[in-house]
Amino acid sequence: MNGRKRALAAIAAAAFAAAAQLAIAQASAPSADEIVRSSRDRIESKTVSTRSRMVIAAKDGGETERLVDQYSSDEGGQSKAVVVFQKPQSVAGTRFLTIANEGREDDRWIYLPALGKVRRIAASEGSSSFMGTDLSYDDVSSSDRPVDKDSHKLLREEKLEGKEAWVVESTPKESGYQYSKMISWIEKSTRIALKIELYDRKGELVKILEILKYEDKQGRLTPVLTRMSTVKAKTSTTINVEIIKYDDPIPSSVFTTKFLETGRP
Amino acid sequence: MRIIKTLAACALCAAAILAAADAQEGFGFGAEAEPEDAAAPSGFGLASGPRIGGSLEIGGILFFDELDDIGSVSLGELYSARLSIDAAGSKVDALLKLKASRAIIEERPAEIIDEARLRLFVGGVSIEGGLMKLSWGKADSQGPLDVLNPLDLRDLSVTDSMERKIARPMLRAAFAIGQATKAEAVFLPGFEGYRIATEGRWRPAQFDQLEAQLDYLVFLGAPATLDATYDSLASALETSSLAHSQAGARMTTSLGPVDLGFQYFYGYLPTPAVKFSGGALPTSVELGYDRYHQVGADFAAVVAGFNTRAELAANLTEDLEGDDPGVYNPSLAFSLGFDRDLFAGVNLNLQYAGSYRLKDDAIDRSATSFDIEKGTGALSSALTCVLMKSLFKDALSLKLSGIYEFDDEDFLVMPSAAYALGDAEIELSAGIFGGDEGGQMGQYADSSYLRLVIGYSF
Repeated sequence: MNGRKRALAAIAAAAFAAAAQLAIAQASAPSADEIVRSSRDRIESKTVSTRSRMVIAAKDGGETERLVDQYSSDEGGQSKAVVVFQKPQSVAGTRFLTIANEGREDDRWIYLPALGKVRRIAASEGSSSFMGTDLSYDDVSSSDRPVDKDSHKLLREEKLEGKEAWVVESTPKESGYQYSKMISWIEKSTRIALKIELYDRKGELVKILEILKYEDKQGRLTPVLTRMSTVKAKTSTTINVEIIKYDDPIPSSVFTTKFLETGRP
Repeated sequence: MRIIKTLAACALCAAAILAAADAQEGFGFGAEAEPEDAAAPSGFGLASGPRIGGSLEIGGILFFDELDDIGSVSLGELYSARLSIDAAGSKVDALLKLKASRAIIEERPAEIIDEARLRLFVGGVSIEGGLMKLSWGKADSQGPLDVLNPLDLRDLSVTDSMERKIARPMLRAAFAIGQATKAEAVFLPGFEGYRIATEGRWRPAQFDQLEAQLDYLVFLGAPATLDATYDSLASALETSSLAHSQAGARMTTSLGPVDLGFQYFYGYLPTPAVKFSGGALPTSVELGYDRYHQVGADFAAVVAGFNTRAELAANLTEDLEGDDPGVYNPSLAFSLGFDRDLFAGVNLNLQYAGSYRLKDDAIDRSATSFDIEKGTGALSSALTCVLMKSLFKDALSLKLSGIYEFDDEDFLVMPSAAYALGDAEIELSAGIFGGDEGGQMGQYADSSYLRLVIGYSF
């Protein structure tokens, strides 16, 4: 179980998609909870290391890029993830660490070179934009979101771009979460969430996440091109996973505030 | 000569950076890995060459008191540039930061080097040295534990805490203890106090008061040698020798949801003290910096969604009785603060910081006293409030900052709006000083300003 979660935590941008991927292989109609759980457990890996290129598209068509590395692990039954910004130079060296905790809020720290120090931040800041992208901090770390934090309901079955899919509505049990509901289209044959609609607390559609392309990576079907669109702002962030490595050794000291400061395990 | 030294230091650091790049074998993809690197046996240990970054800013500043005579408008520094070069090897990394503006090039070329640091990694220990800026403590801005670098206060329109810091030669060793604890020791071979303007609009009124007092003493019959300016007194200070070395140690750790830090520092207070000698009618006066020991602790935790931070320090000077007129009394310094997202993405950051003077009742407050602290109260504190809101995925950042000093009853308000166009940014900001005209900030009421800057980071 932990290995599966660890795998999903690998892709900063695609994490949200991976977290919600619903896998449905059973011949009989599974329950919504089973769909979600099997989706989140779809990929097994002890660690995941990725490099992603994020292209942020403005409403006027202008584009800016971010080059982001992420290292994830579930060693010791605790999900941990580090995100490192490599480019552009103006944000290079910014590092972000999340350690998931049982029974209490996740621990989160950020290192900003301009401040010269590591700063603990609250999970309540999760709805803030993640370094100017269309993803929020919650989106980035949502792969570790426990299945039982949401109530899941199977709405219908339909085809999405020619692919048979289940449509599942997930409603957070906690009122403080940034979304009031998430509707996912889960491809039956692969259990991949091809599309997720995200609704704000007023019930309005705010973001759409789409898996544009997935490939076999080390025997695992992996989203490699993902797009998060913000509906009203008409902006989007496209995440191209340029490198992904499953089960590559990651020193445990990577998941420490010392690594945030120095970039050294 | 200073220019030659500067260039030599640049060349030395650049060579170190190139050497570091050649030796790159560290963890991670590195800065330059390309997609085809995914086929490599390991995802880590990929080389990266030196990285060059920087920024260029053009703009101007308009002081409100210049509006009466538009011909006197100077617009301040019209440009500034920064260049950063860094590289990392398996056992070493190096960083060189340069900055330039008209004033730096023409008047202070030694300040072209903003930072120059070399860091070695030996086992779990990192050893670094050079001209460095380090931040200690958890406060968001200038907490009492952030003692290693003095501040450049010659231009009070510069408010960024790291930009204000003066890089100092220092040596640091740090090592990790387990996963959540780090210990470090720092040695500074020499000392420099705050840099304070001795002329122009940012010259403190206290200097004029001191010079008037010296004039008066000479009038009363004190030796003519007392008729000095602050500048001449300050220029007599020599603090760069090993005799003025400073040192400190710090340990930080995380216990569940709480981050803790403890530190000890032995150094100098960065604000000079005026020391008279010779009795009721002094025969000499000099400036000096006071040695002190600091013992402090800090704390950070998320409490009910609030990012809380606190620092507490005991500053023990050599005037433990509090009755030496030329030495600052011991004091307790503190900082309490938090930040939290309120609503609609508005972030509130509050920090209450100050110091409480110990042995205050031992200070001679008589008219003939020369005690440097007789004109101030025991408690000195200020509240800093920052409201921030980002719009359009951080493209537009709105910020309203304010500082209120309780003892001086004065304030500084700084609204700003910054709009990002890709890696370029346009920022309009203002600084409005007000309150008691005798206060630390109120005295600069005529220096309130409006600034427009266009910058590009690369």
